[in-house]
Amino acid sequence: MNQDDLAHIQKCLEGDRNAFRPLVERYQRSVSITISRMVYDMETVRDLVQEVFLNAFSRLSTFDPIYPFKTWIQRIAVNRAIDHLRRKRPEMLILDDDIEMEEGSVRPQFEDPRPTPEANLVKAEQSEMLRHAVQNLEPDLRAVIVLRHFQDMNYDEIAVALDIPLGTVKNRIFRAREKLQSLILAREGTTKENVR
Amino acid sequence: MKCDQYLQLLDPYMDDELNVGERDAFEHHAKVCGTCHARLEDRRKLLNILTSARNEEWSIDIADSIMTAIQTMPATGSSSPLRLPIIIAVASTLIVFLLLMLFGAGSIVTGIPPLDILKTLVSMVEMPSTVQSNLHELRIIFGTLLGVGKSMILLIWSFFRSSVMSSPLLAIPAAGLLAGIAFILWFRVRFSRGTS
Repeated sequence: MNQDDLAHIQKCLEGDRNAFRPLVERYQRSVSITISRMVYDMETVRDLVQEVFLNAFSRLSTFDPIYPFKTWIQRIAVNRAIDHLRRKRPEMLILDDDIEMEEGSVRPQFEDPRPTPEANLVKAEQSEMLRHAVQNLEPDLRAVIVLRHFQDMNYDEIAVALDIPLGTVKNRIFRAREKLQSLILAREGTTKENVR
Repeated sequence: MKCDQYLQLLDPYMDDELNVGERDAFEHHAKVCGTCHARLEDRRKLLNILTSARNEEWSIDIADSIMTAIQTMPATGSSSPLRLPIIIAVASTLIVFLLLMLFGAGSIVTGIPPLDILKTLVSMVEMPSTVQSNLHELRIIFGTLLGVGKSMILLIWSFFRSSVMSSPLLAIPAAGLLAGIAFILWFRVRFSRGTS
């Protein structure tokens, strides 16, 4: 447990609401990555990220300092995203270019270096295929993929974050990857057919 | 190692979650089984796509709006204001119910007035060594336990027959229980009206 986080949490519990700001600033990026990888709709992401932090603040007294704050807030984020997905299904595929951005909102930025246009094209295609495939996963499977690949959590951390047994984590990761693999292969096949 | 065992270890292998022995067995099987080797390569491709997608960062900064929302949240504390009073009400009701049940039922079975039972039980707590040699006290203990069991059954049965009053002493714990439930319901209704 990060002692700095714990100190801020203590101050919040003593009534200092401003002490929550450093926690928001530290974890808003990782929470927004999780939510965005599960929901893929920028405006919804903003709303959900805000809800996650408000929820965390109001439930701060239930936080168990045995676990890192990051794991705890990731659990809230994943649960909120799953809740949103279950209410929203079936969902439409939403591309970045289709999202209407409100004034002042921030568009997702790609920070990867761009070596060559060809490499960029391949990567963009892969990214699109992956997005499509992830959006076709059930929320529970989506959650393990996001925590494993976008939060870099190991199996034990995922088990804690999702409050599920280790065996279930392994099972869901296997099922999620098998499905992603088949979806990506199927889409690759369709793309090649269209090119011909 | 058989192919189905290999399949179970495929993702833990890719995620570096295997011990040395499992890892060696896995790698040996991958060398000798063409199908499983192909599976491993497919999985590697998928993980490369996922890894490359990880570099696409979502840049989002909504700390100000989160903190504004937190500052305007009602000052009800970090836990539900209803929780503690409800816990106290439920606990008090249960204690009263159990005490009434204990003495009421013990009195019915043993024929000893409830107050005498209370005095005897208190003396047993103060001087436990005298209990074993005192038949009268043993009779009270077993009689009370037996009475509680019988009373529970009778109480439920009495409710169904709407004839609690046919056994006046049974009406005491029943009334206590009903009063407790009524109090909790009244408290909840009144409190939720007050907060809405």
